[in-house]
Amino acid sequence: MSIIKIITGGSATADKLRRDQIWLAARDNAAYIALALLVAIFWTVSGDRFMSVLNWTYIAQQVPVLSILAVAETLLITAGFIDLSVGSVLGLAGFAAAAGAANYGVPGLLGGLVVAIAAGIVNGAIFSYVRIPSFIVTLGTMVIVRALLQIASGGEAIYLSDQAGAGSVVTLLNWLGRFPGVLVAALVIWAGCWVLYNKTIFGDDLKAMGGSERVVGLFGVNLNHRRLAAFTIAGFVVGLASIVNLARIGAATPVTGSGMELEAISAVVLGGTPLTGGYGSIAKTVVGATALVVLSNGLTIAGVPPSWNDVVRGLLLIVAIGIALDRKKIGTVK
Amino acid sequence: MASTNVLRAQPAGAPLVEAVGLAKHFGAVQALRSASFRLWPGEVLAVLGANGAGKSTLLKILAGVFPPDEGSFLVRGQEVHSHDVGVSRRLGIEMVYQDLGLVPNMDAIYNLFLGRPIRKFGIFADRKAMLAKTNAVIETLGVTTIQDPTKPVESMSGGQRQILAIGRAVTWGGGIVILDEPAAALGIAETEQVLKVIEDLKQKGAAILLVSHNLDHVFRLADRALVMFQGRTVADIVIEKSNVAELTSAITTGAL
Repeated sequence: MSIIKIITGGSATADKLRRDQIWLAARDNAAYIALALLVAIFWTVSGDRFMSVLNWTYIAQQVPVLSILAVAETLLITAGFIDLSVGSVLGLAGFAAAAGAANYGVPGLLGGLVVAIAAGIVNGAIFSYVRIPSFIVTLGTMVIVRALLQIASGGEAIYLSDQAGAGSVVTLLNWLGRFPGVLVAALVIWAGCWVLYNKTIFGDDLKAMGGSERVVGLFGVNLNHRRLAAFTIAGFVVGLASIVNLARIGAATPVTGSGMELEAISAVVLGGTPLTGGYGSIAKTVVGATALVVLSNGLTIAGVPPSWNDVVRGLLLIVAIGIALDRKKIGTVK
Repeated sequence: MASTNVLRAQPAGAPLVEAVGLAKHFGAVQALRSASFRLWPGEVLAVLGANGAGKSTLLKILAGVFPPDEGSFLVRGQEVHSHDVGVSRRLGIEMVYQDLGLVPNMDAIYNLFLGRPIRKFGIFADRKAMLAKTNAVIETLGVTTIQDPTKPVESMSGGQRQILAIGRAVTWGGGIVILDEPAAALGIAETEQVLKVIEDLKQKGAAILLVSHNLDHVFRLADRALVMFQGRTVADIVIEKSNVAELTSAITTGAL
């Protein structure tokens, strides 16, 4: 009798263990599963209109900018920081790159990098040395940078194709703005960030700071240096995104990047990086961004009106987080 | 009251660490009024006292977490002027904090090398070298329970974490190790393992400052006991010549 109990008890435990493992695996790969499900659903609903070379080329052109922004955001969120200003900085840096290119040709594009890095340094310096939470600092700079873009542009867009004497820039941006150039550029940037995140001491320290910043500081890691460096590097990556975005659109407008900070953060969270930091994945962030692009593309093709498109995107985010969030690891949910 | 210090023990040679009249306040709270002691190589000095007696404050000053308001301390006869975790470490002082000072989401390798990783080309982490060293450290400690040093520390047991924290202090320590409640919240087997590691450490000639509320451990490990009461060091007692009643009385009343 007792033997039977032990055996049945044992197998019930084994079953539960197996269920837990499956659940765990599903949770760890929520971004991949979400992407696969979305592709399956839209393929079923829209057939060849969704599953065409043309449409996937379009998706491949849409993914890079959002995913690069999201990768920059991953670096910060892993350490427990956040940057709400990436959308505004994408706009201002894109404008600076466009203005620079219009006046100085290809080297002028560097203007975008300079502006984005400067924004990163300002965010990082205020956060590190004045000790104001990054959420608040970047909420402020999000508004300020957007206003600066309005002031600098006078509300007018810059169209690069209009510029006389900008031949080589237009050639470069034409390559960078289309498949496969845009994807090649994105691959290089993803790879660079992946190496930084997974192979460097800086990357390790970011994850550790998301776990216990106090301990990391206690053992002699210069926290302010890490904070400032994280925002500066993220700024640089956003600057690269702004040039890719300029190439994609062929113009810099006062509303470029508006609202993209939330899309980028959504992609990061969909990729399984908790907002409390501590761990994360560059690859899954890219997959998360891809899933968001596929969702929006698929809904449009299926004929869902844009407003409903946004409703579905919001719902997907909440459901995905509901599944992906490891509540044991983050303690309290707030 | 500082005059009531009873220095019954005077091992031969120069002390490794000497503290004179250390004091520290936090806001209106005088956490440490006057702490003095001497520590020789190869001995375990137990720091005893009720909660709030100033034990942790004293240890943190030595570890360089914050500077003292008054008083001074000398390491190998040299007065320490700048107070910083890095400075204390370069002097060979390593502290195992009560909460262990481990980053929970990172692995044993990262934690062992926290703040001084092995670098490759300046910015890259040399994981291979660090893994080899980590395995060597685990082997020297004679513990086989830490099987996978690449697993997050949060997945380890309390004893494994404690041994990792002590292992880190031993690896980097230049002979002075501060242990704040090393066996608190551990099971019987794990406590035994930690005590053995401390005994080994003493055998190898390290000078150890040990805070413990467990007098059994104190009698087993310590050579002398430094008793603290209301922010002062009130007695320095040779363990061999003492007993539980005397220590208890000193801890609770501040007098012998």
